[in-house]
Amino acid sequence: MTKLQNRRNILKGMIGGTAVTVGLPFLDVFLNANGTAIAQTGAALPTVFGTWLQYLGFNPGRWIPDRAGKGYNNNIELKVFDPFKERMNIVSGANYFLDGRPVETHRTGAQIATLGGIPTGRDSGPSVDSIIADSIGTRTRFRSIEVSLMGDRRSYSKRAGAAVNPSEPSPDALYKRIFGPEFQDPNAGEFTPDAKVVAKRSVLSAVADQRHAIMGQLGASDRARLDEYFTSVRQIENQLAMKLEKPAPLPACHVPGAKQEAQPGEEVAQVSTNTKLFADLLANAVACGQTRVFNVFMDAQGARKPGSTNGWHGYTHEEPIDEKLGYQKEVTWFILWANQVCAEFLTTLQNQKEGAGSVLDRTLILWQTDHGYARTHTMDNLPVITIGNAGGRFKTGMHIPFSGDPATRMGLTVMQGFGVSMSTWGSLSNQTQKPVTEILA
Amino acid sequence: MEARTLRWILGAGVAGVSLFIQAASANALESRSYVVSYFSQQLNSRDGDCPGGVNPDDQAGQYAVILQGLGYKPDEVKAMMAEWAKGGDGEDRINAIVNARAIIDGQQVNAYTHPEATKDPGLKFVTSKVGYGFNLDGKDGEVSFTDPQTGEKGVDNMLSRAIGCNQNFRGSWDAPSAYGEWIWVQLKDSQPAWLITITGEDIDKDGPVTIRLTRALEYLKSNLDGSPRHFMTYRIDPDPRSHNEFKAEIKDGELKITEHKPLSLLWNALSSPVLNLKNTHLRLKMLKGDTLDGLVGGYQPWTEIYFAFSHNGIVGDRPGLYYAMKKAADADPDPKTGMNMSISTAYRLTAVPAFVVESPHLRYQSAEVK
Repeated sequence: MTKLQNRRNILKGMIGGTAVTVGLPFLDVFLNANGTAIAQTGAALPTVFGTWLQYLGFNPGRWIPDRAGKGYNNNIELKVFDPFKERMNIVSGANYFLDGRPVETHRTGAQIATLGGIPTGRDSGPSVDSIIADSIGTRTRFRSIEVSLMGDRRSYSKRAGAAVNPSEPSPDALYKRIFGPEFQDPNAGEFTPDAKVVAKRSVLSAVADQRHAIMGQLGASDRARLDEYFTSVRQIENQLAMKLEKPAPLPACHVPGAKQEAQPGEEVAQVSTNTKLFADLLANAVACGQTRVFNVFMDAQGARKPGSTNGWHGYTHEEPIDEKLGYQKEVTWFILWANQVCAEFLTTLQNQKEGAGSVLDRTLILWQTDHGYARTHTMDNLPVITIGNAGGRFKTGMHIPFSGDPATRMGLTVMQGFGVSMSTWGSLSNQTQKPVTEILA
Repeated sequence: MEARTLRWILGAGVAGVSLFIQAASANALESRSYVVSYFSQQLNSRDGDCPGGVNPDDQAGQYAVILQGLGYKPDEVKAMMAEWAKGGDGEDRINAIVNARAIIDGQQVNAYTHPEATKDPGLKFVTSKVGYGFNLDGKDGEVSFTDPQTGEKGVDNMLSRAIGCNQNFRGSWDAPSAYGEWIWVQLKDSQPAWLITITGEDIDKDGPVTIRLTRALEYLKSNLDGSPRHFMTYRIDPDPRSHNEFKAEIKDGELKITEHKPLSLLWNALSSPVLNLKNTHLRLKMLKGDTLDGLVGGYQPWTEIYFAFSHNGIVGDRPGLYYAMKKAADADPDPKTGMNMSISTAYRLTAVPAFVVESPHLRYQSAEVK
């Protein structure tokens, strides 16, 4: 009798004197009792890192929780996150520091949030997600996946230098990218290496010697540039190599059906519809082992209501503060809407069940913004939020007031939590050596 | 050391160190220095001060008016605005039409670079009789304001009339305009700070003083909550274009310039490359906690103001503002055309105490504004 203990079980036999093999589909017996790890190896389901970068901040006095530490109550603009409160951390009072450098409205804050400082020219260090992806994302088909909710390709996910990881604005296109012909179902019984992948890998191998030879002929600056380029090439090689192995089975992986997207754009209905589709695709991409890092960018500036021609950003500058309410009404509508969209995104990750847990259980999402108060585009008293504990790597349920500390502390914290060996991150006044130890498990 | 009370002495004997030095001797001078902690155009917006309401307060509203002005029919404008609202290529197409609506020699050109080559949309002017500023020309005319703080009549602040019916500029003493706050927040941590040094025999008493307005080599230092930090040290930029000295007086806790010379301070392209004022007036209340709060005003070249507006999409209808300022300008007639090249203005200024150090290597000199 064949013993079922190896995830690569195959049935072997002979037909007419010829050896044949038949692969088996993934069975529950391969999982542990809780469905949280692969029984054969005992390995925990891998952790996942996500970012949610949303422009235009919140209203002062309407988002900071009522008390520090555990047991806080969400303020009005974050009430929609109540179902996730125990799995969130909210940092208030964080700052972005300009150090006398010219500010490029919106972009500078986002750069500090993602890169740890303001880059000079086009070159910069890698973004937080890229650094983490280098740690946890090298054995997945996609090192990271970037999506933009507002119909464009803008992205703050960068490798070192000037290499931006552009966002995908279309759920349809993302579906085809992830679950199109090149998708290898980890639970499929049969595994056939893609001939195209074999060919691509052969091409890269064939030029390897020449690559090394060229490096020897260059000056330091060019060598650095080529080294960065070849890092990307090596990443491709690794991914191709991985595609030639049968992927580990993942019981929660179900290929989602194609769904009708809304035309990518800035109208709130379009954004809401497509964010749900993106959430479903990313949840399934994670469940199917296609990526462990994703980035969601809500540019927000052009977001507008149906039939309206003025957008969120326009209102931040032009809308008077309502004297009775004490805040800008239209702007506040957009803040609440965006938070609702984000909460629905989280719900989708939570509903993507994996045994007794969910994709959200092994994920940590770092929520950041460009400005504290959009009306005047401030760079202080910024909110930074984390959602999820990445399989227990982070403690949650806390409001952590900063006293004007650099927001980069949270970037450093999550990098350390994901196992990145880094003691200092950021530049000039945005540099920090001080992770938020309260949330590191 | 002589019998003096010295406060915040940074370095006795170091040439050019200008600090809070209070002298008991009648012949000794004391100096107090400050760093500017807020600066923006001061308006006094009130309900009903723009006939029929403010100018179209969003980009779409302006676009619709502009497209009609370009000859598009109402149904065409509606369709174009729907296309614009969808974003993407359609938005780019309409933006291109609006941006290149200026015509020179039959060629479409950028409307913001060439505002004269566009049609004047006829923006509204503030009609209120109450507004902040100074009586710069000594007259009380039909378009003059009465200052709500001082009660002074004949106040000249035509810039506030020209821009005050645009939502972004509307503000009051207690609720600054969105534009003013936005500019300040963008610049405070990135552009060199402005410095004020008052020198006199006893600055706690009424009497004549000298006031210097200069630029620092450092940007404004802030506390971690974003508020300006007191008693930080700044070095004066040796560039003479930002060196200004005025005779002034302190009376009843208020500092006023008595010598209305030009003022020149290097600024920033976001606001105006240089703050140039003629017939400079200043009044600053010396408040508890050694802070200053008040106004600086004078006649400012309005084309320099437009320079900032021209590349700043959040101000509203830019060519419209160009025409509004051109019409409202009230000083400096061009000898050839007779067109007024300057406009009366008033800026809110607050400052907190600071240490100011002059470079020992470069002699201080007043700027000559030409």
